[in-house]
Amino acid sequence: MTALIIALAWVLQLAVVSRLFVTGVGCSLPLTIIIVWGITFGSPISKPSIDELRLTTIKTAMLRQALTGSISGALLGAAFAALYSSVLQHYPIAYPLIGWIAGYFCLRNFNKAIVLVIPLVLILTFLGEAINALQLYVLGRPLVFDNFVEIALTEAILNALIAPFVFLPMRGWYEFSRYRQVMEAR
Amino acid sequence: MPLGNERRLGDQSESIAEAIFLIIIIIMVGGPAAGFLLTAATTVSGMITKGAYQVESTKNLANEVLVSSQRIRELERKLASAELELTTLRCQSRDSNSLRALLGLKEKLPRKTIAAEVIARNPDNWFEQVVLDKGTADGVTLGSAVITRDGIVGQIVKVDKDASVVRLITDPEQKLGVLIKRIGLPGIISGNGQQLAVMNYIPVGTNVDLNDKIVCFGKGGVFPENHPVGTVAAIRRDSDGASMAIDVKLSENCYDLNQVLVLPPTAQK
Repeated sequence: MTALIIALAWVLQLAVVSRLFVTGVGCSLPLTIIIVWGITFGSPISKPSIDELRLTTIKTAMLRQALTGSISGALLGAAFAALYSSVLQHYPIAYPLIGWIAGYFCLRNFNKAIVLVIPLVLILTFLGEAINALQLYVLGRPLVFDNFVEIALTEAILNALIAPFVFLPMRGWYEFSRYRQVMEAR
Repeated sequence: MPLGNERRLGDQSESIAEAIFLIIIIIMVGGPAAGFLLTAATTVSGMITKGAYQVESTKNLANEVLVSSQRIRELERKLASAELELTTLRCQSRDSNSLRALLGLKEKLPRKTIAAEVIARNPDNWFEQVVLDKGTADGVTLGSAVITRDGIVGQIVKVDKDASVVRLITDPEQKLGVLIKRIGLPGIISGNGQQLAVMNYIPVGTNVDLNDKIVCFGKGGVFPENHPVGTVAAIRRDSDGASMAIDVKLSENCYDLNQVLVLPPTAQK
């Protein structure tokens, strides 16, 4: 199922979405899916409570906090990044990183998550494109920071606009899979 | 006359008088009553006829509306399918014109050419690339030039068996050796996304005019010589003021590409 989602998103991005742009910049369906995935599925490890943080060492707390990112989000990001590198000349490390980071903002226990998804996708897309720009700059691509604001901001806004249409079916899928797990456990 | 007969005669004359009186009364009342009845009957029958007529005409009108709406739906369907067909025909006409132009260009070029179709644009916003449906199996090699009849499109930067990636001339990393045809001045242009391409380091005082044609230098064996690239859109001083920069309006719209020609590099002598 996940492979099907990745394949479908990739084909849609290449054939349809990349041809629709505003001021020369289009939305990124794969990046939106990576972020929404991280937000929806989160991490299997629960976040440390305040008491746990108070009693533990800084090293352990940092490690615990680092491990609460979304592993599946990072893997999904890595899969999309591999697909990107088949067309581009570099491997965009921003995608697995953003997939992981999105897990920190897991919204599975929020009823009004749909409201929070939009600003989260906006911020994380901007962050993802900032990492992308930094990588491209390090690789020596010209005019990266000249076009950064235009590309990152426009893409972030467009991704935020399509985020609810990705989030709602994904959350429905998550809830259905959880319900099935509970039924099977009985 | 006996007394009984007198009484009977009296009774009879009274009955006759009563009958006459009754007749008179009937005549006096019956006339207007008949008129009233006639009027009433006419009014009622008129109302019924009118009602029936109105029901009939409403029914007819409803039928007509129903038939008209069905007809409108049918016509709308026909119009939609005709519009779809028209769009398809327009696309086909555009494709065939473009293919005819490419065929003409292919015949003119002395080099080996491969006709290819653009199947996708690059998936991210940082690069200006398109994906072609031809790869090494069709003879496409790394570094091949990609052109159309109108101008230079870009260069192959990644190639697979059945697909290849073209870096468009609008990409900031793509450089191209060009010549300002009127004055024979060579230079290098680089892409700048959707904005105009730039030709830097033109000596100050060079006699460049707006709308001067810029063509491909083509001495490297990659891009075809004298193939159109664009026209001069603006001439300005560089930021340091030591030389001039020329903004070039590219002759090919790289955001609306369908069919292209791939030219594998010729062997260098």
